[in-house]
Amino acid sequence: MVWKELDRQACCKKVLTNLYKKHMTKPQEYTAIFENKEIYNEKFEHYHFELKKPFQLDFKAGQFVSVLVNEQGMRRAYSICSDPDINHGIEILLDIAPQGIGVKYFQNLKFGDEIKFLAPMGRFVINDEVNHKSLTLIGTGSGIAPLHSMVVDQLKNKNDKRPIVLYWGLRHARHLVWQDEFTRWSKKFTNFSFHPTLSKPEKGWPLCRGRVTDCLSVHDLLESAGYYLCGSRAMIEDCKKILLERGVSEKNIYHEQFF
Amino acid sequence: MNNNHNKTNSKNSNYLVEVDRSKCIGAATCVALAPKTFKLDQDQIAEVISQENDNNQDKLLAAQSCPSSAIRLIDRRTKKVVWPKSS
Repeated sequence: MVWKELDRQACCKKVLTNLYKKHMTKPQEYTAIFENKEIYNEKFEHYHFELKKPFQLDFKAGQFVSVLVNEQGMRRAYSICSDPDINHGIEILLDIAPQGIGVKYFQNLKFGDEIKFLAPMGRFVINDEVNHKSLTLIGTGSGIAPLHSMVVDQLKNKNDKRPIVLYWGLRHARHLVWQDEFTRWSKKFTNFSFHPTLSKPEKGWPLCRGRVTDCLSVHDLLESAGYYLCGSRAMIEDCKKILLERGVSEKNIYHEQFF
Repeated sequence: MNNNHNKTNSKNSNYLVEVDRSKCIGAATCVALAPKTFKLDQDQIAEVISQENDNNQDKLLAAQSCPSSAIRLIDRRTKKVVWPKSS
């Protein structure tokens, strides 16, 4: 998980520094109760936690939490996928495929168990200080989590009327989650469009095939967009390369890197 | 010592802090948790600005919270690595 802005120009650095200062409040330690879990498929599980102490968390869409996953002090970072308007709890989309210490910790939780985490963290948030005419959100795998929070925040909470397009790259259709929700939003909010993109599509898959970079190479890019990327280092480098080649300014590209 | 580690000297702090630039992804959790020890440089990579001005607990929390495990702590007196824990 986790994210930085692609920024090498002096003018951009000032914007970045301002963003950083604006969103970096000192994280607090929270205790929360494990309330619910949805097992979507063999890859993704969705965890719901209700805050216990403090009982309220004000976070920005795109931020993450640092969860204490063992008594030795090991922590793992997870993007919050839920609506920032709901400040009495957090939701996390977990990619269970790695089966590392964090995944095992979550999967061993019993309803009612307490977890401890530091929050809010991160600066991968929509930059409201720049008046982009549109937003393009690009994620792969569990990189969809912060983008889900961003989409609901922009559409529902901020009533953002700018064109917003979401690309989500996965291997298989059977791993897709929230597809009904994204489809429903695209009908309700006509400025929103969703492009699930599969690198190993099953026979008959009617939508985008290949990697998200393939889509970015051929699709019309939105005018004066801000680009928000979330995924692996390789995905971010590849997307950035395509976007720069197509004339997107580096200062309009923001990212959060998973590793 | 890995040349990628950013290291400064100090006489007063128990924990010596090092940042592995090759691992840092610029999430800035360290800056949020120990702002007197870390800052982001021009490339948005964490660097150590002081070994003295945050307490050991904040330094430890910053190291433990780093999402890319780019921070290492060494006890200056014992020379032992405090974080990450050896498995």
